Amino acid sequence: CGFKLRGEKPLPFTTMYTNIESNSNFGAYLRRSLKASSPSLQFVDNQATAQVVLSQLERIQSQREVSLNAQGQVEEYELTLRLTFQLVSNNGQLLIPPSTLTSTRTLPYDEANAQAKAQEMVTLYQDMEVQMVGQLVRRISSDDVIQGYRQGAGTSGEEQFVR
Amino acid sequence: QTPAGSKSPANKEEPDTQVLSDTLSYDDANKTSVFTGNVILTRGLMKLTSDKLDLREDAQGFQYGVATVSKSRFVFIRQERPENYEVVEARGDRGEYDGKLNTVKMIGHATVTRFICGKPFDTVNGEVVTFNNQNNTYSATGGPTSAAQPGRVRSIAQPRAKTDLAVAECRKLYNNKPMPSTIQAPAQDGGSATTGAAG
Amino acid sequence: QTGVLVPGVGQSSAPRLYVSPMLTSPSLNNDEIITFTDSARADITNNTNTITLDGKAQIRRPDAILKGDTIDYDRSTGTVTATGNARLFRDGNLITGPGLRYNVDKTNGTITSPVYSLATGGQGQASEANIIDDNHVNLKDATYSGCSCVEPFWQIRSNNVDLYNDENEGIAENGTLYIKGVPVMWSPYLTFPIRAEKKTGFLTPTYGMTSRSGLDVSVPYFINLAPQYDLTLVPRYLSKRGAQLGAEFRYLQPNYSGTLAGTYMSKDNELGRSRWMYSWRHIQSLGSVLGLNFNLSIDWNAVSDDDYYRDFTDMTTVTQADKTYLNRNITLGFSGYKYWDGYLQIQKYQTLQDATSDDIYGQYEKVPELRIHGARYDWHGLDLETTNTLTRFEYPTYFGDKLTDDVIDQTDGHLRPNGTRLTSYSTISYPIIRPGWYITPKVGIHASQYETDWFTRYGQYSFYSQSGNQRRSISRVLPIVSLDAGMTFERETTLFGYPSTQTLEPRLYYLYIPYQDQSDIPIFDTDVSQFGFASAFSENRYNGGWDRINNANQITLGLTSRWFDRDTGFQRLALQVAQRVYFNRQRVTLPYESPRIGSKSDWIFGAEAALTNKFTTQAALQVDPYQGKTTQVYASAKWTPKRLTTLSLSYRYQRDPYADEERTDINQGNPLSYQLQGKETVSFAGQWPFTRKLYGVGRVDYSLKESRVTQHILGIEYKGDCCWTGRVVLKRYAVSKEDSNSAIFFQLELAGLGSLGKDPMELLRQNVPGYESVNTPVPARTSFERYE
Repeated sequence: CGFKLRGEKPLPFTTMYTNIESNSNFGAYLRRSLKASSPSLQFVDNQATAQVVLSQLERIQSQREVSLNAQGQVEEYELTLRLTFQLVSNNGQLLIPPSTLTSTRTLPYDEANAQAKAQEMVTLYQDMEVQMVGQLVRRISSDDVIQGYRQGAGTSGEEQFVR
Repeated sequence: QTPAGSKSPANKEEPDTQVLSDTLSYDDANKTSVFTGNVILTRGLMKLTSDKLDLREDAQGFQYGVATVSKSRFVFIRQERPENYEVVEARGDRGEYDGKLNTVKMIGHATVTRFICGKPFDTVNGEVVTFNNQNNTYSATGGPTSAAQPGRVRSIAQPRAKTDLAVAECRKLYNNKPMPSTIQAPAQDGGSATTGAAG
Repeated sequence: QTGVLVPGVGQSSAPRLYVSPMLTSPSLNNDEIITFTDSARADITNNTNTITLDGKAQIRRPDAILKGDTIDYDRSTGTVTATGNARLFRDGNLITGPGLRYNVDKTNGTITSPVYSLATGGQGQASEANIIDDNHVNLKDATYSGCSCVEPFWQIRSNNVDLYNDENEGIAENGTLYIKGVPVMWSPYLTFPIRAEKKTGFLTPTYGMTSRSGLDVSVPYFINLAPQYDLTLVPRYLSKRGAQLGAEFRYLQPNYSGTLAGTYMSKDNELGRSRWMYSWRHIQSLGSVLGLNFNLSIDWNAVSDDDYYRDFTDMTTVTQADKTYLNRNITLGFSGYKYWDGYLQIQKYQTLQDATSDDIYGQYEKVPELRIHGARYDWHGLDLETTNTLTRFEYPTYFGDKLTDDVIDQTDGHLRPNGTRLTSYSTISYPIIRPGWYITPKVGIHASQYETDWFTRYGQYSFYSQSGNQRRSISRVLPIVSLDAGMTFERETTLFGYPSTQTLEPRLYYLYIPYQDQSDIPIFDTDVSQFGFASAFSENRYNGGWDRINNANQITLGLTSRWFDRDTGFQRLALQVAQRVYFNRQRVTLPYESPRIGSKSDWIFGAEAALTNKFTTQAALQVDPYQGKTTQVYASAKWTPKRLTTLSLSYRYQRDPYADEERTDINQGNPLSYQLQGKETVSFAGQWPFTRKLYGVGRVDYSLKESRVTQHILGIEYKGDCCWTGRVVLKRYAVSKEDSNSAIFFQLELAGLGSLGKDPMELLRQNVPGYESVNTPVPARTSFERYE
């Protein structure tokens, strides 16, 4: 029925710098997925030498009570993670404008066991983060970014605006 | 070019008016003279240049002049006041000199600029600018052919402190003596007619 | 990641206009300002020192523009006199009048019978205006209103008003406040802010009526002590209880900041005793010592009695959330040496019992807890992590009236055993990630040591473990082995006509943990995780400190299919299904938890669809494979036609644990204490701008099981056409098992009169699902506006 294994999507640039902490679950998984999708990609520590810069502009973790039990105690929280990121090439060309990924999960809550639930919230937020890596990799290796970079590579950032 | 010196009898200490031009035609009957071509009228510390100048004299002997241009762009007037290091320059489509009122009118796209020590400080743009040499004032009115917006008079004035500064500088430059005048030849040979420039 | 969870409030930054930094007003000093004039006629006299302009004359300078029928400008003294509809425009302030005299150098002047409108929005007229200097304008028998509209809603009339721009203060001597022409308030010395910024002054008062406290009037007063400190005093009167004084002190320094808030009521007429509350939040970075940088955070709350939060509420609290256990936490966090972090914390609670229900609330306190966590990712492809925690657990003693005195005496108020726990969980995993598939083997060792005091000295009233023994020290070491593998298949297809990419993502998660008898281990902070997609692929069905680690030999199979828009990569639709297959029976349980009987878990289904960018739906279903009954249903739909406009409807169903009659092995029919109580609720919520001026936000939770509204809140805001805003909030919510509190609040805000207080509607909006922050602050008015 037309399904085939997802293949590599080589990216036109080979050096990337990102401010996402490499020593974290999210950072490590993102680096591995991007390298798997484009094996020639290297992560550099010095922003100046990188051909593209992936920056995480904002990471907002928020929770809100969505349902109460008869005693008026919180029975369920809705956890939301909002991640805003952008991809800029070293000549100033905006490959991906600031865009936001959001993900929500509902968590049954029991005030009498706040600490256990707090730890469960942490794992839920991490699970949402990892699930966002898939979307991030897909967005970075999308056609419009690859063509944008190829066109941009020829001209400096300003000319791109002039045209 | 024929020099024409004419003494206006009205008041003795009045500086005489001297006009240089390429050609002159004089009509004694109604006392009018028409100067054409590179006309330069000097009167005291005021100099007027234009392409054509019609000069007439009224019964009491007051002179009235109308200066117009054909080739060059503007009738041009330069008024010097060396004791405060000032030069006022005006230009316009047409100039009218009224000896009786001792005023000079610049009509049509009139612009007046005041220089101190050679540097421009204030300008007034309008349709008609009238100089009153008596009390050393000038006024401007708007009109359809105003140098500024039609019907409006516009002026730009530098800050007071800057003008004072420039005057002080100039005084130091000429260590307190009045600025040499470019219109009047050096004081010693005042008033004598100068030969006209070649046509 | 440290265990301390700080709930951040989501603030999305909506795109908005900013004043461009390049747009600066020239700070020329006076002798550099060039003056332009425009008139029908200009006379330059007295040695070019005086200029007379007439015929709609104008003098234009970078700092001021002056217009009038005729203008005389004496350049030597700098005085300008305009006669005939004079207009002076300076720094965005406009003053018009029949005549005006102004000195451009000394920037002072007088205007006869001026009509003025300030850049800050204030406007009015007076018999005479004296501009004393750049900063100070004095008005004689003036009227002042805080906003710039034709016929203002409120106005101050006084015979002498002084406006100080830098101090942002207007002072009206014996001023009278008129609302719609009716004198409302008189004061010998009335001050008001000129600009909307942090300024000492009265905030918008709130009037209300609540069922538990009667009439409720509070008039907050804000004191701007310094740019880094401010204090808000809230005198408040409640008809059933008496007068109360609230205060909130905020401080902000480069490396520490915080808030200290509290209330005090000397005598509550209904209870005949004093009632108070205080809460202190503080965060501080302590710098680094020995290569570790330390930070301190304190969150300490206390109230005078259990019912404090049930009796006192305000306009913006929607629910009694987190008011049963008042958090008392001091945490010293540290991190350093690139891979290490951790904290030393004291976690206590003040528990507010509910007199109307017979169960006693309480939870273990950590006095203290030390955590050291290290993580090293991608070290030659390996991910290493170790978490070591030493915690002293103490259960708060209870001397309330829910237990008879002799019961309390037997155990000196103790209800649970105390104890110390040391756990260390270290893992190694080797993720192999390829574009189309991934395999992540992971091996971990979880070791823990318990020293428990079962209070054996109380003999028969002492406490017993699940197994009935009272072993003082127990240790447990368990290996945890897991394998997570998944593949991603893709194909190009279309969804609702859009070209999109569809994925098929099978996933397998195998977990092996040998059995070890843990029935002697006490339960401090462990609970059953809700079975869902996140916990289906995790190592332990219990969460918290893992006082129980499930024996496992199981596989969880999952299948996800997603549809992405091909060009933008936006996830349009996701369908998920998962089930776990157990190869052994459940031998580890929490006390009173009955082990599962089948070898297959419930089916879980999930769907998330963003049908259009404006309409998203979410659904989750959990089906018991043996009886084919749904154990849990969650469905919600959210419609956001445009910004600040959302309607959302959500339905929740949780099967009641009793209803499971066939399960005869439930011990003595007690409800499974770890199962969620049965419920079926529908919740409707929305924020909706009815008209440009009328705006509503609200939420209604209706319980189908008890067929009653469990709680509702509705806020209406009407922005008057001329600088006033009216707000009404109606709400009713459960405060305890039987009681509920219904309240109505009303607020009239005179824009420009009071200082800026917290926007109650903003706080309300945060409790509406799909909330979108409105924080597009009114851009500060600049003097470039209304340029003539």
